[in-house]
Amino acid sequence: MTSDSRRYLDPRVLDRIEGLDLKARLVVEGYISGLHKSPFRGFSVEFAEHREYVPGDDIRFLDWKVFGRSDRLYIKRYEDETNLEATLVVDVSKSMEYRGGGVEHSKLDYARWAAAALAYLITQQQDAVGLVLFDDQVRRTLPTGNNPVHLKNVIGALDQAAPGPTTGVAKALKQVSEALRRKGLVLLFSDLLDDAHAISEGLKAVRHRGHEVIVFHVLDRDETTFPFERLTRFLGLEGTDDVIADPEALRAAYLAEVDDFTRKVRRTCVANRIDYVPLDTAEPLGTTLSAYLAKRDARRRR
Amino acid sequence: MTPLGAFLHPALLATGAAAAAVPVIIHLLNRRRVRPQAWAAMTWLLAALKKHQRRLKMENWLILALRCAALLVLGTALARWVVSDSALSALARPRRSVVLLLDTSYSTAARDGARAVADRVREEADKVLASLGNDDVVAVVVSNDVRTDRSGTRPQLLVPRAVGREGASRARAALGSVRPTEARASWPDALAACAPKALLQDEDVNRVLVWVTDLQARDWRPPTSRGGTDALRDAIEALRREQASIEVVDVGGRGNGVLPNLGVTDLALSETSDVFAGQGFEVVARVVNHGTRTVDGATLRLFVDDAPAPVRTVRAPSLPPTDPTTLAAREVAVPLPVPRDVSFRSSGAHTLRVELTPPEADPGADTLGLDSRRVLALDVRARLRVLVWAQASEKATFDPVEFLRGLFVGEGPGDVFELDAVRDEEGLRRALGDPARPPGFVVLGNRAPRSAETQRDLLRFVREGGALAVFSGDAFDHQAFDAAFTAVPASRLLPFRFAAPETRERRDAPWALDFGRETAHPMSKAFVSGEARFVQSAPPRVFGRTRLLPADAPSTTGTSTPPPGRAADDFVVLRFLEGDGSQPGPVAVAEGPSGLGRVMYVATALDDAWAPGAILPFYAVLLNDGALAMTRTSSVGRNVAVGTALRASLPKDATAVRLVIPGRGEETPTVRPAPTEEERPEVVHDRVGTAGMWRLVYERPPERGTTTARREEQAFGVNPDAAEGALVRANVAAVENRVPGAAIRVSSGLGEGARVQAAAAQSELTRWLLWAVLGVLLLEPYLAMRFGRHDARAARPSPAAERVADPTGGAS
Repeated sequence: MTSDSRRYLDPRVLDRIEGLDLKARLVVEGYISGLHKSPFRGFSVEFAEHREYVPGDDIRFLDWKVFGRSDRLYIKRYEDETNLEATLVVDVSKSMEYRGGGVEHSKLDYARWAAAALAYLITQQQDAVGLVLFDDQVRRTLPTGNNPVHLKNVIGALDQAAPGPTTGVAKALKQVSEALRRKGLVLLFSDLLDDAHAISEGLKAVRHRGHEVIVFHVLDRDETTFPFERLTRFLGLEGTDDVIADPEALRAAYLAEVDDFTRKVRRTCVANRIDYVPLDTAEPLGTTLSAYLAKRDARRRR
Repeated sequence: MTPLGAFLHPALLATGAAAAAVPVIIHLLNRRRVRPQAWAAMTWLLAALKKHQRRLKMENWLILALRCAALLVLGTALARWVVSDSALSALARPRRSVVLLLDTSYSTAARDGARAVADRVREEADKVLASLGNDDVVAVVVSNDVRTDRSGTRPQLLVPRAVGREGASRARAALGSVRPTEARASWPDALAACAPKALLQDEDVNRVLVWVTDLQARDWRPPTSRGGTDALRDAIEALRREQASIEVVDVGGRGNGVLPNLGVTDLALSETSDVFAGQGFEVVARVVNHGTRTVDGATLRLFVDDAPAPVRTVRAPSLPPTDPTTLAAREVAVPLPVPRDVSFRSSGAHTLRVELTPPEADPGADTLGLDSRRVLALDVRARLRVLVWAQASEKATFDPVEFLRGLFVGEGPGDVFELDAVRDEEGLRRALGDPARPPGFVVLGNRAPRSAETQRDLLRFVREGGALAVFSGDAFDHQAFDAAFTAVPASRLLPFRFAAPETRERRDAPWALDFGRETAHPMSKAFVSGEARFVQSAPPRVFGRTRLLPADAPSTTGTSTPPPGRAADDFVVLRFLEGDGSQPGPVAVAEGPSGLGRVMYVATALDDAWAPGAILPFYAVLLNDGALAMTRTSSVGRNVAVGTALRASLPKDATAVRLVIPGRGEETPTVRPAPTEEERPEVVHDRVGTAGMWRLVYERPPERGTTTARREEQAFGVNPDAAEGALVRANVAAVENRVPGAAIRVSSGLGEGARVQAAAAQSELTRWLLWAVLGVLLLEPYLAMRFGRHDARAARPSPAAERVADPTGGAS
């Protein structure tokens, strides 16, 4: 990883780069590719065949029984190991269009970059990736695939996603869980501006189908600091009535609400073995993703 | 002041009230200038609002109220809120503003044993000053100016507004100059001088007038006439309006309220208004006993000028005590005859002085010495030289010159007149210019000067102060007289002219003189209601006359109209009766000033040709009284009370004018020039503060044939106000209730200023209000921060945001 490539990971630089695929490439190649191994692996335990060991293979998968009988090194291969199906579930509701002061990209932009980067990463390791775009319901679905053309389609769909009216995370998650036939990895990119209980139910439903779930909670810095000072008329992006409030007076109460919501979501995630990854649109995307992926990789090694 | 107090700067209170609206206005304006903000996380915002809306509203209102209150309280503090008689006043430290009013009238010279009342005045004043604190304000006023050259009834600001102990020290030093003056106190003037608006400043609260006085009853009596001006009440009410309470400290006499005292209230000539050199006369002294028991054996001594020995010593009759009910003193008149042998030897300014001494057995009957002496200034007259140029009428039975000689001369040493007669006009002219025998009174009978020289000399004689009487008659050339002395205003003697002679036959009814109607002229009184009423019993019968007509309104038939600028009675001594005798008719006798002299016109003859019989008694009175009155130097203002102004007219040629003041020597007074030709220069000394004989001395040019300037003088008797000698103290209840609602308290001593402290019921809350403002200013940001209105909170992210910023710890 060079310093030049790191430079492209700054969201302000990514803002100026056109083309989502290029951005994904930069994120992955500029940072994530430095990892020792891809953190995403198949989790099927169904044995498929032996393969002769070549240097570089993970010695954890050596078949020691065969080595004892034949004095030759073989690697055990499982049926789904190389057929991970990851589904990117991206919230394209109106609320994701919010863009706070100090940044030039919206939450949706940031979610697109993250989703595209992970799609690129997954495709690169020969796994399949699919896409679901939703607002108050699923708007578009791309089935999983692992060829470059498919990746291009996924990135193109992300790039062209138009914001829908409202957020309906729980409903979308239920639809996704019903649509996915095989167990796989579900990566949710959303601001989760929905009822916490409903979200919890949606996440549980996905997990109940045997999918692994990672929640990328995309929030703008404004939404976590509420930095406004003067009396403000807040115009709801998703059709709610306008609210006039004194931000200074309301800040503490608002932040308490945010804290309470995130705590509930986090508690749900922990209880259901779901990874919860908060994403701040003001932070460098590569740093955030790589930190999470490194942590995930380390956890799998234990 | 209301129970809620008053504001020294009400305008600032209004400003504060207006300023209190500013936060509300800003709040409303801010509500209109709402900043729009697209927002995604409405769920959380609405949840926060729903949970905290009520509390937020309360916090908003609380902060808004605090901001408004800060401005309102600041305005109230700057408006200088002064409260009284309420619990609030106890909050503030009472800063006192004391005006000390000290009695320096001459009654404080009274001695009660070894101490004078004035000593107690100083002691009590010293106690008040000793009680003052560092923030207290004091000013000292004395009722009578204690400076010897300025003492009188006017008050004096002894120490202007001074602050703290330094001011008190200055005031205590000034107390050394406090002494009894010789004037009475004019308390309304003194109270006006103590007015807080003149002495104090707006921030001087707890205004107390400490009035140290001997509490003489006379000072506190309301006016006797119903509806009369009550100057004392007005002055006290003015103080009350300026929020000053009044503490009267009584330093007067003994417990029974009366200090005994003897006094001479008046000394006056008994009968005549004139004292002639070498002639005997009589004066009357009025003495009074202000004590509570009869005094027998007091002595009156009469002194002439500065002679050390009295010319008369008289034992006063028994002097009755003051009426115990009315507290009114009873005067006793003591006649003091002055025989010729001890009378004044020379004419001019002289004085008489009477002194009353208590009986040897009861020296304590007189505690105040000054009012036991009295001075009377007199202008002792020299003999009056009368110059007559008269001719008998054709039908007269006697020569008028002889009549006058008999009237004025003949008593030998007792004569006060000398008479010179001239035969013709040339003789008149020479006599008028004779410096050796200057005439004082010229009588023209049936004669009028025709030569211009004589007319000019006669006019000059009158203008320079001489007296002239002109009688008409059958040979009186009224046209020549009027041409010379009436037609030309510059040489006019009186605003009348003589009409043509008119006569009646003796069988007809005579013209009667109107003795039943008194005019404004003082000589009229003698004929109508005075000593010469005997003339009425045998009224003169007049068959010939030359009526006196107005000089500028010639008429041959009507009655005289008053000259412009004067009422007719100013000149008219007597009139003829008109018609059936019931209506006033033409002027018969007119008299009045002309230049510095005086002139009398009589419309009939000086003999009995036109008025047979009873005209002589009438002329005797008219000429005798007229000659004395017309040549008398005005004695008005020669005897004045201490504290009043001294006024004196000077001859026009007077120079080197000096005023000799008892105890102070000579001073050069201010001489006001005569404003018109007919008036004299005048000396006015408006601060006569010392009793005794004052002399106005001046020089006049040498007379013809001499080279030495003449030294002349006028004497003035200056006496204290006789009523000031009444040392009876006022009733305390009467004093305290003298002006309802004025909160006057009377005590016999302050007792280290305790009462002054007690009177300090007003307190200014400024200091406390400013503390309140500071408190509000500190509380408001604290609450603003506490309620989340402070900017510092804006940058603090939520815990969620903190975890986002640290992604390595954020994953589950």
